[in-house]
Amino acid sequence: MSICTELTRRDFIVQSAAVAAVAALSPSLTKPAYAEDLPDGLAWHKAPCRFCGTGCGVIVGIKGGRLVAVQGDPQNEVNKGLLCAKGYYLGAALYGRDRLTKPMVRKGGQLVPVTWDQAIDVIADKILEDPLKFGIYGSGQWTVAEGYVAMKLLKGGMGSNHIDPNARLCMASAVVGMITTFGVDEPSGCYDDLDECDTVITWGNNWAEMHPVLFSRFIDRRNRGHKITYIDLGTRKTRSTVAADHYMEFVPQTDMAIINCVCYQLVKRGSYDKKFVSKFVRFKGSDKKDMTFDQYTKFLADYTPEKVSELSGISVAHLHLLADVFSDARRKVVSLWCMGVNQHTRGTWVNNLIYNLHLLSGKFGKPGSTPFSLTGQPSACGTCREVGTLAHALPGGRVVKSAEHRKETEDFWKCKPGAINPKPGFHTVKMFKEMAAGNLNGIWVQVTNPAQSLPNLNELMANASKRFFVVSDIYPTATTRIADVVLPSSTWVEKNGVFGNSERRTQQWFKMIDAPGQARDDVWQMLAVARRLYDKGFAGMKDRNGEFLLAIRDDNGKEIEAWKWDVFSKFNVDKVLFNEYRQFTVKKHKDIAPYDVYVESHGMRWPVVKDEDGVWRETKRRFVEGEDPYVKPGKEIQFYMSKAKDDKAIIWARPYVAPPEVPDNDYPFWLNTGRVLEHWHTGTMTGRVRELKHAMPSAYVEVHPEDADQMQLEDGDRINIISRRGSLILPVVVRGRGIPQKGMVFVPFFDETKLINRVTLDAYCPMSKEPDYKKCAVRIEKV
Amino acid sequence: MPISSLIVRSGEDTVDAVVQAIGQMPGASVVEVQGGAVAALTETDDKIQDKALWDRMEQLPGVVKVDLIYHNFEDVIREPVS
Ligand code: SF4
Repeated sequence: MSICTELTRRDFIVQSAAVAAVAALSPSLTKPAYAEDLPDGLAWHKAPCRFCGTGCGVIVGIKGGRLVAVQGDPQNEVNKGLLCAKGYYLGAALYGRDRLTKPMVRKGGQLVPVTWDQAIDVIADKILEDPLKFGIYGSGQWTVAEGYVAMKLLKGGMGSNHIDPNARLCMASAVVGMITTFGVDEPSGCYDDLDECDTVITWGNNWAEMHPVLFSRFIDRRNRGHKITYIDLGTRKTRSTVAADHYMEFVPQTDMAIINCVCYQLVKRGSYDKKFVSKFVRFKGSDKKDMTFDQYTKFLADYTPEKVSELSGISVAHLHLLADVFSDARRKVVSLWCMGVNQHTRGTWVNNLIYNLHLLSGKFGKPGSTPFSLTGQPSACGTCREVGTLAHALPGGRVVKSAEHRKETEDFWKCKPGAINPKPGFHTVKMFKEMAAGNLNGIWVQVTNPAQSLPNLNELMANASKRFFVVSDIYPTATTRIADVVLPSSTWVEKNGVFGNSERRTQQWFKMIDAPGQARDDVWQMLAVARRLYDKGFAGMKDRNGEFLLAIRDDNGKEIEAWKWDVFSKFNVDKVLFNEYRQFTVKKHKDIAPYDVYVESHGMRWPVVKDEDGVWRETKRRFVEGEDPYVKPGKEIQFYMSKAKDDKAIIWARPYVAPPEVPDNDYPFWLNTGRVLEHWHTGTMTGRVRELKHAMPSAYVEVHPEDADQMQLEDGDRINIISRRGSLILPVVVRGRGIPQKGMVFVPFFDETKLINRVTLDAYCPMSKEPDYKKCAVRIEKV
Repeated sequence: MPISSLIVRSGEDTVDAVVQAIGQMPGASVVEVQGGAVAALTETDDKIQDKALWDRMEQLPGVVKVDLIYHNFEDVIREPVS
């Protein structure tokens, strides 16, 4: 290439970068095209970001079969052209030098390369030893088709319900919270509410680092002169706190009492929304019995500002301020929460309590007023919650316990009647405990890394790791190191996919580049094992007509040999599976459109229903007349999935309950754990991105400055963090990007060389079975 | 050479100082300013320098947030594994 051409080409790239930035700066400008008509020589295609549940749209630049550029998708309403650091380095995450490229099987203690055929055979034989004792541990990073195939293989074919996703560890409390309050899962509001609110409250949520692009939407509004009050309730000061008008620091677990206290004040002042409450709400006690409003008032009597201030550490003035916000009928309030509420031994109840507050104050279903539960992973909603890859669930909001739901599912799948086991399988923590006990013989782990991310690792993994592990992943991880079979996977734009984000938005993308070496799609891996089981004569892999249960058919209804890689790789199997799954989504009014509709769009929020004029129309706000097509005219708000079929949501009387482990003389500190901006969860991908690794190379422990003074600790000193379960030595950071409250230390969990989950507790919410990673008791010793 | 663009968000009272500071950073330039938001461009030798530049922008007094918009790294991409 001549210097002249080089310069011209470089100019084009500079120009493209500048145009993209100006467009993102000016939301009203016509958005630039992203297709191949840009003069930068790249082919640009849309995809959702691979990382968090915000679900930003990315435009991916391909040149010579390689991913060489990314930009925020200006046409995607989630991010309007913006990206955070993780999204920015999406491309680099694919090109780590140690990508897994060959299937491997453990022989004589070593993982040795084998052919795909051999690996598939080993897995099939292990399953056939006892299909009912084989499980799948999946992920909120599974695509919709991946989760769907896993469900059909295991629940439809193997008669086992032992499937659960890592999403159990991050959003199970949100799911059970919504189902118990509204009768159906997933948020009613949407990100647009952030553009219309005048108050944002975060409940234990560091959105500046965990959902950075949503935080930018808020900062952008402020910069444009909108007056928005931001109240940050937390147990640790974070980057989000810097933008807060009010920071309210509370003793861990007392969020339950704080919310009840605000409700107490609304009732006492008479400032709750009487019309909303009388028309749309019912009251229940935790014994599930109906309550009168008077009984609910009596329940709240324990939560006076004075008492709750003493318990929580929040001042009476701040408790009054919160009540003022929810008492003011004109205020438009968005509540946001994520792991701080969900990873909680009473996570379901705290979810219920936040809904109580919004229902009691009528701050629901109006533009700018909504309780909004954020999700951590890119398809925790689309796959785990909607496809239902949970131990108790079936696709589309169904459950295995229901004979009606099992029959519907068996009919859709054409399974033999009775094929689906009515007994729920093991949820995540139980799954690994039962493996240790020998009640599960084997497990197939896809797109996740439990040997690093499970709580109380010393106990949960020590014996479980002696069982048979199949691990599909793209890099070596803590879990591939204990695996018996390692399968190299394709990731993100190396395959076709669909994700569903936090705001019910379904987003589709096409394969753009080849995966390295012999890496193959997880969907193919499962289809290949299913077919091998069929070929070996396993009856579960035959449908009621004797045909292959997981058959993939072309547009003419002719079965293709999708279990053969050369056939699979030339055919869009994702489209077939997505359109098959679609039929499940109507029952609970979570309707999705046909696959091709998403090909043309930059994401649509369900329910997506066809208008009279033939246009597929998304729904911004559920349960709201004029927005949600399932709300009947004249109803205003209709909770049409309420269990009692009275169209009402439930305000639950949920009392404060102390956590199972609190600091004492032997273990006087709280331990809180979490994520950092630079790394995605256990860091297996972002740790391969030099720039991110360079910016955040290893784990550390944040200590409050007063505790550090008292213990004569300075930045860089090493301390041993010791709990009843394990210990870990880490360098101290005293004034880092986060400052935990006095008496608390905070440790991020991304560093696989420093496993803080050897120290954490595996106690979980009794309703959602989600563990609490945010509080256990430790002592710290200078080393 | 990676080429990137980003938006640096500060208050309107600090934006002039932010624009000036970005202008003095080797490899960085300002494309447009709207209210408290600055569209900036970076051209650096490698991605570490690229990241270092926007880290510096994020640490400028008054800057609340840096959003990333466009990132072309075709000259510095590692060979894919085979
Ligand atoms: S906010 Fe989340 S979805 Fe958006 S770019 Fe960052 S990691 Fe990706």
